[in-house]
Amino acid sequence: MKRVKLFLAPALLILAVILIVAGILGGGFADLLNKARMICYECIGIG
Amino acid sequence: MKNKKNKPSGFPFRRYTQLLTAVLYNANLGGFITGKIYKGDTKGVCVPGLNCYSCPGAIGACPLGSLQSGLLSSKYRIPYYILGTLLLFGLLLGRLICGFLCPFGFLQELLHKIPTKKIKKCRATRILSKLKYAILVGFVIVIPLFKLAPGFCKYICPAGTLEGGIPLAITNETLRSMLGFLFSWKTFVLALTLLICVFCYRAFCRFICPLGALYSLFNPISFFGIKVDAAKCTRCNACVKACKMDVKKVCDGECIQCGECIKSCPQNAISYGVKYFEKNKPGRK
Repeated sequence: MKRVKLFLAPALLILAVILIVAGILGGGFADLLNKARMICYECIGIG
Repeated sequence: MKNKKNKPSGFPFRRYTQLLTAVLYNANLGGFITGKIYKGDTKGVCVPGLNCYSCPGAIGACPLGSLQSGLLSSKYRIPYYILGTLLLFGLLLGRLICGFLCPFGFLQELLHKIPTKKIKKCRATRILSKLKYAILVGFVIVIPLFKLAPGFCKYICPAGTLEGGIPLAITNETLRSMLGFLFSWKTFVLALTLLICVFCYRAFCRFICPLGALYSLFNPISFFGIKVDAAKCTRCNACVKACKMDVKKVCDGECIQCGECIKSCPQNAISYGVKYFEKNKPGRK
C-alpha cells in the first residue's frame, strides 16, 4: 500500500493538473461560469 | 499516560475556520437583500465544500452541482475542468474539507450541540454510511449522464434549499410565485435532515453526502491531514472510541479529520501534517 501510495498520489496530482489545464483550454471554465451565473432552478426546488 | 494539560488539542481554530469558510464562500452578502445571485468571474471557480451556487451570497461554484451540470452537457464536452478540480481537492485534502471547509457540515455540528439525547454510532450507522456511495453513483453520475436531471441537486440537496431556495423565495417575488411540489419536497428533506442532525452527529455527511463519498476515496492517499505515528501507537482504540464518525481506523474513508482523536490519544501519536512524507504507516485502530 505504501509503495502504491508513493506513486499513485503524485501521478493523480499530475493528472489533476493536466485535466484542469485541458478543461480551461477547452472552455470548461467559461462553461461553468455561464452556468453558475444563472439561477439553477432544480437546485432551489423549481423544475 | 501523559498529563492532560500537556496534550495537543487537535486544531484549536477549527470552528473559526468553518465560520470563516462559510462567510468567504458567501461573501456577496448584499445578494441576500436584493434576491439576486452574484455574477462575477469567481463563479467559474469551484469551492471545495458543499455550497450551492444559486445561493444569493455565493461567490464560487459548488463542485457537486458543477459536476452534475457538466455531466448533463457531457454529450458535447467532457467536464475535464471540474473533474480535475475535484481530483485536486481530494488529493490535497481528502475529507479534511468536510471537517474544516464545509458550511453545511458546520451547521450540522452546531445543531448537534443542542442538548438532547444523542444517537451514538453503532452497526446500523456503519451500514447506513455506505448509502452515500449509492447516492453518488445513482444521483450524481448515472441520472445526469442519462440526461435526465441534476439528480442530487434536484431531488435531495438540502444545502441547495437552505442556501439557495429559501433565501431566493423570500426575496424574489417572481420565484416565489413559481414554487410547487418540488420545493415542498425539498423543504421537507431539509427539515428532516436538520432535525436528525440534532440527535445524530453530522447525519447528512455520514449517510447522504456524495461529495463526502467522493473525497473519502482520496482520504487514505491525500497529502495533508491526520497521521498516526506507528512507533507511538499502542492500538488502545481510544481514538476510534472518541470519534463520532463511523471510522474503523484513523484516516479511513469515514474520517473527516476533525482532530477529536488527537485529544483522545494517550500516547500523542496522532497529529496533523503532510501525510505523504510520514515514515511510519498509520496504525490499525
